[in-house]
This record gives sequence, C-alpha cells and structure tokens, in this order.
Amino acid sequence: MVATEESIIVDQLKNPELRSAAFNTVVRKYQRMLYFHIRRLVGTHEDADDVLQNTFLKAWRAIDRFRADSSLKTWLYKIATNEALSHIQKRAKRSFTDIEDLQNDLRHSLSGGTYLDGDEIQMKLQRAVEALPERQKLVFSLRYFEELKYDEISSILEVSVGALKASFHHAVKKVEKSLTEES
Amino acid sequence: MEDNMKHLLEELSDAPMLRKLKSNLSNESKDEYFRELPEKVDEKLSLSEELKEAPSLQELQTAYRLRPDTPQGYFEKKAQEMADLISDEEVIGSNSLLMNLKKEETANVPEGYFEQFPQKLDLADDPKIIPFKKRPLRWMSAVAAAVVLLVSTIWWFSQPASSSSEMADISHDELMAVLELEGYDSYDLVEILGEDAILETENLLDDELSEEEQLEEVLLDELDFSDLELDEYIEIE
Repeated sequence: MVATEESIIVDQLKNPELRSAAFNTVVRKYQRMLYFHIRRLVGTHEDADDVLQNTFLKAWRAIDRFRADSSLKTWLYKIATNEALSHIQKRAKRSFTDIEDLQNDLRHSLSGGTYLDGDEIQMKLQRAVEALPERQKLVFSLRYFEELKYDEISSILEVSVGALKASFHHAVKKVEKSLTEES
Repeated sequence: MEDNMKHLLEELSDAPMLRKLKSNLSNESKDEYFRELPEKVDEKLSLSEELKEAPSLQELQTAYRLRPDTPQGYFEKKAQEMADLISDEEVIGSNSLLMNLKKEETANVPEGYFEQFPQKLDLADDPKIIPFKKRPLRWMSAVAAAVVLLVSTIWWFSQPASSSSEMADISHDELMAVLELEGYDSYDLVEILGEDAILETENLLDDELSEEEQLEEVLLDELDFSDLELDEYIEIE
C-alpha cells in the first residue's frame, strides 16, 4: 500500500527527532484554510491571528493524543472551531455583551470596509452569514466556504450528517433570501 | 392571439420594465422555439436510448474493483464526493448568487502574513503544560494560591484606603471555580501566570513558607498584570 502524504507526516509527528519539522509542514499546509475559517467566525484579523496561534499551540501540545482514526485536517478544524467559539465567548463576557450583540457589532463593522475588498455583494454575503445563528453559521461556513464533506463536518461538530444537511439547507435559504432582498 | 398581446402591452404602458420583459418574448422567437422543440426532444430521447445499452455504472465499478491497483475504498470515497457535490448543487442551486460567490476569498490579510506565520509560532519556548487532571493536588494548590494572591494584590491596589478587605473571604476553590466558569482553563492560567511562577509558588508551599509577602514577591517578579483582565471578577465579588 502506497503511503499518503498525510500518513508520512503523521509518522514523522510521532518521531521526536522529526516532530518539529513535521509540525512546521503541518502549519504551512493548513494555516491558510484554518485562518479563513477562524476569520469568518471571529471577524478581525487580530483576533483570527490570536486564535490561529492558539490552535496550532494546542495542536502541538496535544500531538501525542492525535489518533489517525480522524484526518489531521478534521482534527485541526475541530481545535480551531473550539478555539474560535471559546474566543467569541470570552470576548462577549469581557465586554459584558451577549453573542447576539457581538454579532450585530460585527455586522456593522463589516460595512466599514475593514474586512472586505469593497465588493458590495461580498459584503452582503458576509452580513447575511453573520446574521445566522452561531451553530448554523458554523455549518454553513464549513460546507460552503471550506467545502468540507458532511462526514468531516460531522466529526468536527459531533452532529449527525442528516442534521447537518438540514441545517445547511436552512442556512442556504436564509442567506439566499437575504441576498436577493438586499440586491 | 396577436390582439391579446397588443392589448396586454398597452395595459403595461405604465410599467416599462414589465413591458420590456414581455416584449422580448416576441411572437417570432416563440414560433422559432416551438419549431425546434420536437427535434430537441427527439435528440434527448435517442441519447437516453443509447445510454440504456451502455454498461451500467455498477458493472464498471465491479470491473475496476477487481483491478489490483485500485485503492481500497476508492469507489466509496468517490461516491461520497459525488453525492456531496450533487447535494450542494441541489441545495444551493447552480445559478444562484451563492454558487457564483462560492470561490471568492474576501478577507483582507496583511501582506506576507502566511509566509511569516510559521516563524511566529515559537514552539520551543512553549511551556510543557501538564493537564490539570494529571497534576498532583499540591500543584493545583500552588496555582490557586498564585491566583488568589494576584487577585488580592490587584484588588488591594485598586481600592480606596478605607475599603474593607472582602477578598480575604474568598476561598481558593471559589476563585478557581469562578475562573473556570468564566472560561479560563488550566492552560490559560499557566500562560497568564507563567510556569516558573507556579513552580516557585509550589516550592514555597513545599517548604511551608507560604507567607503572603514571599508569594507576592514571586508573583510581582514574574507576572505582567496587563495580561490579566480581572477587574470584572473583582467587581462581581
């Protein structure tokens, strides 16, 4: 059986002498996709940068506990998602606001143009996604933007594939409605 | 029929957009469409007949499955990928705005961020953190003592001279419970306090030298108060 790129990296991660270099490869391979996933959840670059660093630091600390029964990508997405949600909750508590208010703030800050390249329709899309309930936004983001498969999302969020499909369907309807109403 | 269309267009004279849309579907184009329709239907029908005679996908799968170089689980994976793709198009709709926006990445990221990011991750200096559950009780007490002292110190300096010392009434367990409730886990606490400070506090407890002044000295040496936003806890208490 031919060894895949991932199985080679996982083997190297288990070897103390190769671990550091292998982890650097993991960071380079997954940083971009994790960054955009986190950024969609937390909003600003500064927060996304913090959460991305924490994600990789936690992955590094827990690398001995990684089991090859899930893929590295799924495992990292799970850590990143938990870190981003935890960051959002902490931020809300620190500013004595709830997550709904924070989402409203984020929606308003989007129109300031700090997040987007000025493309109006993209801004509308971001606003529509931000308006989704937290869990639905997660599902939508992982499926629509990250293009993860349902079974991957299922292991990240620990939700059944059927429930995910239903959630995505509802999210798509809401976002599409919001886009056509606004445009 | 033509009269009917003429009347309709007259009725739409105050609705230029609707009138224009209606006019675009002229009688001429409609006639052309219906003239070509039977031929198009025939073409589709003959194509479906040809497909009926082709080997089924199931047979093709079986034939390929027998090849020794076909990776295990290949077809199951492909089938799942196809199912995901189809269901996406079904759910989103191939011509919808969402489908057209799908590939574009919009967040502004500082130039060179991804090139520099791996260097920013300083894994070598990362403290070797033992999860809470694996730590001996002694270690946890040291963390709790360090946190209580830190909070007491900040609180003491932030209060007017006449205030009473309510902080003294808070037990270590209560404070740890509050911190955990507020989302600080063992990793955060060690990151905030620094492992050296915790270890030093632990040593002091070991040597039964847990006088507040000595612990405070250790903490003041080791800690950066700007890392810890504890005002809210103090106000709560």
